[in-house]
Parts: sequence; C-alpha cells; structure tokens
Amino acid sequence: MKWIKTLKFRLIVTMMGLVLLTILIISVSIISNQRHALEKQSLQDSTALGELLVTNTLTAVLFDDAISARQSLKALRVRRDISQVMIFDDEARLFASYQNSGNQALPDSESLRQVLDTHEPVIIENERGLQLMMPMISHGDSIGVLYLLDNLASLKSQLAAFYQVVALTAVLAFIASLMAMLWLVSLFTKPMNEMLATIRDITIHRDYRRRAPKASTVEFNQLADSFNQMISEVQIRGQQLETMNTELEQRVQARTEALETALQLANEANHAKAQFLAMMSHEVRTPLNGVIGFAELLKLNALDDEARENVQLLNDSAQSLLALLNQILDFSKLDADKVELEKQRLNMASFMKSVVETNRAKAERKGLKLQLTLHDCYADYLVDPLRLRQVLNNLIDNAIKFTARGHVRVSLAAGQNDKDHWLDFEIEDTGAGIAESKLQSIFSPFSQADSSVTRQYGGTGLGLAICAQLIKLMKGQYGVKSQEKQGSLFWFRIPAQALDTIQAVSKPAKAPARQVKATSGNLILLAEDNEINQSVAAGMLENFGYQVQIVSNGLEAVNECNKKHYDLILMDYHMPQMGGLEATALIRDSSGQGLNSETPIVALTADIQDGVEAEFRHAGADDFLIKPFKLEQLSEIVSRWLDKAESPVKNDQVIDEDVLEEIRQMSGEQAPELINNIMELYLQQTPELIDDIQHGTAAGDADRVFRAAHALKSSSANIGAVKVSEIAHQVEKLGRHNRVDHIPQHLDTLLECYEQARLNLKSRLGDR
Amino acid sequence: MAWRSLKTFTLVLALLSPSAQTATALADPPDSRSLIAALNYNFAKYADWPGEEHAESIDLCYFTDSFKNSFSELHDKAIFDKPVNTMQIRDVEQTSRCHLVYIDRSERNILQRLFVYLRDKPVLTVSDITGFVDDGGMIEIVRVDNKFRFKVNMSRMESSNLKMSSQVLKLAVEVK
Repeated sequence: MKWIKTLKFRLIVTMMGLVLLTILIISVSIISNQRHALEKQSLQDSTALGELLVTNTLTAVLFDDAISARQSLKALRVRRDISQVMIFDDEARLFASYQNSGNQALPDSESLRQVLDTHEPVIIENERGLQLMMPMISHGDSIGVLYLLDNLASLKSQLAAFYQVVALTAVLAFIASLMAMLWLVSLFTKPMNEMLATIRDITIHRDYRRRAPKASTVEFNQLADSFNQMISEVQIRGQQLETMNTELEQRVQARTEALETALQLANEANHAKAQFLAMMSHEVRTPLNGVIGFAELLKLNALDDEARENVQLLNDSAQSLLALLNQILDFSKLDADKVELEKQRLNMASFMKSVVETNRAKAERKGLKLQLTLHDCYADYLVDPLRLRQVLNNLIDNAIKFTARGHVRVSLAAGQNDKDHWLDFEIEDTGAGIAESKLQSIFSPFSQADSSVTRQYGGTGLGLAICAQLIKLMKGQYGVKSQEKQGSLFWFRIPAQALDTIQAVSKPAKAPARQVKATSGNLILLAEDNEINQSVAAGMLENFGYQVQIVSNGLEAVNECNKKHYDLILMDYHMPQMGGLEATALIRDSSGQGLNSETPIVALTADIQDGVEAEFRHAGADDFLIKPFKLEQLSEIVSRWLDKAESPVKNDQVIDEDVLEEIRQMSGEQAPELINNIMELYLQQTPELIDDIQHGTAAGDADRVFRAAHALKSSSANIGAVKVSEIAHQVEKLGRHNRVDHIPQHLDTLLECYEQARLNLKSRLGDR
Repeated sequence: MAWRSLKTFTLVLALLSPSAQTATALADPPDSRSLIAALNYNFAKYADWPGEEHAESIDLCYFTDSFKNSFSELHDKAIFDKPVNTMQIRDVEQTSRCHLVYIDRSERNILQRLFVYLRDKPVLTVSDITGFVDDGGMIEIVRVDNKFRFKVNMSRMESSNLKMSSQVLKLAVEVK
C-alpha cells in the first residue's frame, strides 16, 4: 500500500476525480434535458395524433359506424410505438379499437368518465407508457373518448442512442484527461525519480562522481543543477578528508615505526646493561673472592698487631665492595623483575634469633644494645628465608649504621583478621632520624636522606629501594615513621599464615665458629677450576684439619669419585669439560653402587641466578654455598654435613642464651627460680653421667655409654649447654652403633666443654 | 341523448330477432323515431346551405305528429352557434322556409309534389322511404344489419346548391 502515498497516485486520483465529477454533471444535465425534450416531443406527437384520430373518427362515432372508425384507426399500423388505440362512446363503452402490440387492457372507466364530463384530455404516464384520453366533441357534446397508449418505444430508443453517444463521449473525455494527467504528472515525477535514483546511488555506492541528469522543465533543471553543485562540494570535501586521513595514517605509521625502533634500541640497551652487570658480577666476584679468601687466610697466621689490623682493613674493604656489588646486582635484577621467591617452611622465632645474632657483633662494636621481641610467632611459616633475611639484615644494618648510641630494637608479631594472616616486622632505633621532607623519597633508589649522609656513612643508597622492592614482591606493605634526631621506626608487613601450632624450639644455635681446629682428618673432594678459589677453599679446609683432594673439572671429579670414598664433595657450578651439575648427576646416578653415591655434595657457585640452586638440588646436591664465602660459612656448611662427632665443635658459646631466654619466656614470673633449679639439677647430675660414659667406655659397655650419652645430650640441650649436648650426641651415636673404641677421642673434649659450662652456670647461679 | 337512444335501440333490435324486424317495418317505435331525429340533426351539422351564415336559426321540419316528440328533443341544440329550430309542417308549400325536411313513410304520397316544389331549392330532403334517392330525394335512411345507414344523391344536392361534408359522405352506403 506504499503506492497510495505516492505523489503520482494522489495527483492522478485527485485530478481524475474532478474530471469524473465534471463529466458526470455535464452528462446528467444533457441527458435530463434531452429526455425532457424528447418526452415533450413525444407527448406533443401523441396529442397531435390523438386529435387527428378524433377528427377522423368523429363522424363515424356520430353515425355509429364502428367499422368506419376501425378503418380510420387501422392507419396506425405504421406507428409501432402506439401500442393501442380505443374509442369509447358517451356511455364509456368500447366502440372501436386497434392494437399494434401487447395485450389489450381497458383503461379505468373513472378516467373515461372524467374526460366525458370535463371535456378535458387526461394524460397518464406509467410503466405501460404514455396513456392519452381525449374527448370527442361535436358541437359542444362529448360523444366519446379516444384512448391512445404510446409505449414510448421510439422515445426509449432515441434516449438509448443518446445515452450511448454521451457515454462514449464521457469515456473518451476521461481517457483523454487521464492521458493529459499522466503527462502532466510525469512532468513532476520523472525528473523527481531520476533525482531520487541518483541520490540513492550516491548513498548506497558512495559514488560522489554521479550527477543528476538534465530535466526537461526549467524548475527541475535548476534543482538538478543545485544538487549537482552540492554533490561536487561534498565530493571535494570527501577527497580532502581522504587525503588528510591517508596523510595521518602515514604519519601514525611512521611514528609507530620510529617508536618501535626506539623501543627495540632501548630493549637492546637494557639487555646489554643486564649482560654487562652479569659479566661484572662474575668477573668482579672471582678476584674479589680471592682477595677475601686470602685476607681470611692471612688472619689465621701469627701476625703482629699492625699487620693484623691492616689485614682486617683489607678484609673489611673487600667485604664492603662485595656487599656493594651484591646490592647493585640485586637491584638490577629486581628492576628487571627477574627475582622469584622460593618459599620454605621456616620457624620464625629461630629465624629471627639467627638474624639478630648475626648483627649482634656489629651492634656491640658500636656499643649499642640489640634487642629482639617476639609476639605470638612461634609457629612455622611459609616464607622465602633468603629474601626475608636480606630485608631484615639491610634494615638492621641501616639502624645500626645511623645510630650513635642507644639501642636498636627488632620485633616481630603475627596478626590476623577474618581473611588474612600476616607478620609485622619493626626495626626501631634511637639514631639520626629522617627529616619529614625526605620521608617520601627514602625508598626510591639512589636516595639517602642527605648527600652529606653518603659522605658520613657511605653506602649506595640502594638498600632501602631493594628492601621496598622485595617487600612488594612478597605482596607486603612497608613504611617508616621518623623524626629528625629522635630515631626512626621502619616497619613492614607481609602476608603469611602459621603452618603448625606453637612449638617451643630448643635447637642449638649455629653461631659462627672461629679458628677452631679439628683433627678428624675427613677426606674432602674439592672440584673447582679457578686456582685462586682452589687455594682459598683448600687453605680454609686444611686449616679446619680436613684432608683435601683438588680436581679442576667435573670429569676429574667423577673419576676421582670412582676411585675412592670421600666424606664430602664441594662442587663448583661452572667448570670446563664437565660442569658441576652434570658431575653431580653422574656421581649420584650409580644406582647406589658407587663409592660416593651417598656422599653429601655441596654446590658452590658465584652465579646467583635464580634456579641454579633448584637445578643443583634436582641433580642430587644436598646443599648450596654462594661464593665468595667467609670462613665461618664454609665451616658451618662442612661441619653440618660431616659426622658431627668427628667435626670440630665450632660453637664457642658455652651456654646458649636463647634457650635460657625461652625458658624464661615460657615460665613467666617464676622463671629465675625455675632456671636456678634446673641449673643446680644439671650440675648435680652431669658428673655422674660423664662418669658412666667413661666407665662404660673402659668396660666396652656400649649400652651403658649410649644411655648415659643420651641422657646427657637431652639435659645439656635443655639447659643450653650446646657443646656438651653435641658431643654427647656423637657419643650416643657411637654407643648405639657399638663403636666404643672411637669414643675416647671425644671424652677429653666432653670434659673440657663440661668444665666451661659448669663454670658458666656457676657464675650465673652466683649472680643471682 | 340521442346517442344513447340509438344504441339502446340497436341493442334491442339485436335481441329481438326476425319478429322484431317485421314489427319495425310496420311502424317505427318511439326510440327509433328519436334516432331518426338525431340522424337528421347530424346531417344538418355537416350540410352547407348557401347563405347559411345569415340565417337566424337552422330549421328542421317534419310532417307527422308521431315525430313531434322526437324532434322537440333537439330544441336546445345548436349548430355553429345557431340554435336548432324544429317545425311541424302540413303542406309542401311550407317546406321552402326549412333547411332540412324529413319525410316519414306515411307521407309517401306527397313525394312527387314535394320534389317538384323544392326543385333546385336549397332544402335538404331526408326520408326513410325505400328508393327515396332514386326518386329524386337527397338522403335516404336505410337499415343495414339493424343499424341506420344512409344513401346520398350528390347530384340532386349539387343542383340545389347544397354541400355535404366528405366526412359524412364516406360513411354513406351509396352516393349517387
């Protein structure tokens, strides 16, 4: 039904409606006029005919001559439109009649009588036709009535013919009008449709080169011209826009390429930087390793005081250099997101104690008190001990560095809410403090509170930045509260959840050993390619009293391992011919049949890349030592893996303060009394146990030795007599394995250690 | 109302078969006389007399008393605005003032005298005596199928300067 709304349709319908109306009006008026005229004519004809008949038949009626009358009427046979004619006498009786067609029907006598009485003709027009009743008057007397029925056939036929002519004319007029209208409308619609088609084409195909065609009328021609002008404008604009777009695209592409090149260059530069740093680390570490090692060795010799001090200075400088190097490396790695956390199960209490202990000496040298406070953190936690220690060491080191007098307090507290568990660390000092204006930038790299600070205290300014990055890596938060000259409080919080219930730990602390000579003569295989490192490590180990066999690559190490049994193997990572990883794997992979398949292997490497440790452990290494290492570190790790009974007692601490501290903490107010009781009991029982061991050894009674040593080990551990406990442990093992003959060599040490412990404890008892 | 009488008479004749015919032959019944009077009046209507337009009235004359009533019925009639005057005459000499003279059968004996007397006079002579036109009369009333018809002697009328309308002449049974 869309065509109904078209202009063309509406115009044509409206105009044709008007035309039709006009034709109709004219036709009707013509027809009615004509009909009227014809009817009048017909009536006149009939009347004239009637009068003629009356005249002709009057005498016949007068003389009662019906036959003659009929003769006269017969003349009507040529007039087919006169259906019938009748003559009635003055009594309205039928006198004569003639009939052309149709059935004879008498007119009603009422009308006849009316005519006879009034002498006036009566005309009736009905469906039968025109009925004419005329009086027959002779000298004033009505002598009869002439009745004439005109069936109007001629009128009808004339009208029909006229209708046909009118209808034909109307149809012709209509058709002519329609044609004229179509032509007129096409004057509008044709150019309009052409214009529309052009517009549609342009819209669909976006072809702005199309133009509207010329139209035949002036007005539409103007319209088309204006439209074409407009489209030209649009086309020009479009082209301009396109050109601009192309230019813009090219510019963007060029810019992108430039940026990509720049980015690539930057990446390459960064990569080069990282490579450079890695090289630096390796290349600088190796000679530094040598410097430190030889300085350590020098210290072992008998030197005069000045020389000893110089050596110490040399060592300290090398250590600082190493620390600096390590910091720079750490920072560059953190910066490049190359650090991954390696979480382990860790007892936080003992971990914190060990961290604090390693810094205690430094603090004491400056006359500072170093305190550790623990709250609700005796459980095991899953943390990365290496990184956590690094952060803590750094913060504690800073605190000690910037504090002239007073104390440094380290505290750890575990906390939790509905969702999270965490550990809160705090390092508080009474030092220089930090100005408020510097607090913001203190965790940024290369920033110290003041450049004067650098001059006064040294350092790279990277320490706190590394700490901050590490804490972020652990998903923790950090901060500082400080006032100038009032001290600082550094805090950080890392998410960590307690793994077990609280355990009271009473492990003997692994305090660093110093210059303790052993005489056990354990055989150690050292696989190391660098000659300086060989000399340093071998010198240290021999100094400890071990026998050292040196090989300079992995292949030699494997061969050596096939020849004889070693008590411990130290394996370097990078070596020519065969690396440490491969060698370790080969030594381990002899299906348990090899001489050294059970021997502990400690990996050595200057390479601090992540994953190296994991690779070594996977290959079968038992432990890991990063070069350059200090004498104490080597000593600790070696003694950890060699049979403790045969290793030198490295602990110079007679009584472990931590153990006593724990007892104190656990016992609350009654602690002093309890500790005194325990000490007294220990001093009372121990001589008996040692006696038992001596006698048992002499008698070869392994069982007796075992039980006595076991008891001694436990009681000594409980009171914190670490060395006694350790020796007792060795003896216990020998006793259990029925190797009583090996015991005497330990007995002297045991007695000596006990004597120290006894004196220590006695003094403590005396103090109170 | 001569029409009605004429018709009625015709109807009656039609109903009374041969015996009626003989009856009418013997003597005219009153209705028949009225019809004859009416016929005379009709002839007067269509006849033309010389100087008729100057006449004061149209005079219709008869002889026998038996027709007195029938003719008196025509008293109030008129022909072309001229009143109709009916007169009974006794003698042939009286006929010259009449426009029309009806001679019934009982007056057969005066025919010869009348013809002589009215020779070339403009007086229309009408009679129902058989052979009237052959004898010298102008209009003879005859009976045909029980209806009155008439014969006309055109030459007698012309010689007397009388004219008869063609309308009437075409109804005549015979025109001489």
